[in-house]
Amino acid sequence: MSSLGIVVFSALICALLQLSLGTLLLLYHNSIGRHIRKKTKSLAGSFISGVFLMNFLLLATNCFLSYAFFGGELPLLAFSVLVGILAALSLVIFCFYFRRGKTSKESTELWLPKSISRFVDSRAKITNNNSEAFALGLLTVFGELPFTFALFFLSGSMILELSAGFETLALCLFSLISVLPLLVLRLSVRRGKTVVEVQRFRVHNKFFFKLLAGICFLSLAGFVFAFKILQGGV
Amino acid sequence: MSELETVFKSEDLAEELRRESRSLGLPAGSAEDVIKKVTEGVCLWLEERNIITKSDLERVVSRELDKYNADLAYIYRNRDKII
Repeated sequence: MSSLGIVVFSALICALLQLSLGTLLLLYHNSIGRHIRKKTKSLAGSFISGVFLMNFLLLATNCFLSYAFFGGELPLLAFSVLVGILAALSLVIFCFYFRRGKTSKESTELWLPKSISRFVDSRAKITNNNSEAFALGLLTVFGELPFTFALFFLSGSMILELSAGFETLALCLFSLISVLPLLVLRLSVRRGKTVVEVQRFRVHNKFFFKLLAGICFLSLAGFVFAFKILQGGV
Repeated sequence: MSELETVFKSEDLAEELRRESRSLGLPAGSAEDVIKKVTEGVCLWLEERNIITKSDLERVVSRELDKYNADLAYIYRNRDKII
């Protein structure tokens, strides 16, 4: 049960990260200005499918890696390293996740490699068809890998501890939870929220998101420490 | 003129603002009114100057937009700061 808990918690943390959400918002902003609503809807749908598929594939890859290197059961040392990485990530998220600076008060710029954020930004502005939107979705998941790799690896290992019938279900559940904010954004835009309202909401709650993500990373580290290191070591 | 220098064209600014206003779902008529007033205001400001920087222009456009539509001004100011 604790394994499933770790998978769900990791997915929730993935959902709290902002790159895919920001990219979808940018895609909406540029697409609504240029295309009819139907086209925009289909671009958003393709983008979300891309994010879902990449989350699914990355998690499945991590399941395989965990199985290949550790036989499906992580040693205590690996858990300890993961706990350390998660604790460090919680600090990094809290201190650096949103870019700081004079002009960043009203912005939600993220602390990602400049080349990645520029590339994603420029792609979101010129995305015109579904395959481009789908590829953009795949790309944004890659862009946030520095923050999410530990989550994917941990969840991949935990999925292997579940019974065989639940493994695929857990993979789908993880991918679905991690795209939930994108689905909520899509629903909000469909219900008439504008890009400005959504962006104002993001700016207004920037500190809260940062704090929440930081605390969740730390809590996950504590959870793994308690259930996998202390309990496993006894 | 060097590669970095460009000539300001009010039609380009109007087209950019038109795109932004469509993305906000502003009614076409009122958006055109706002765009007309903003481009006129910017052109008036430009009359006294020969050379300006891009950030000067953005600041003035944003100031003019603020007078007529706060949402449009907000999205114009923050269009490169979403991710």
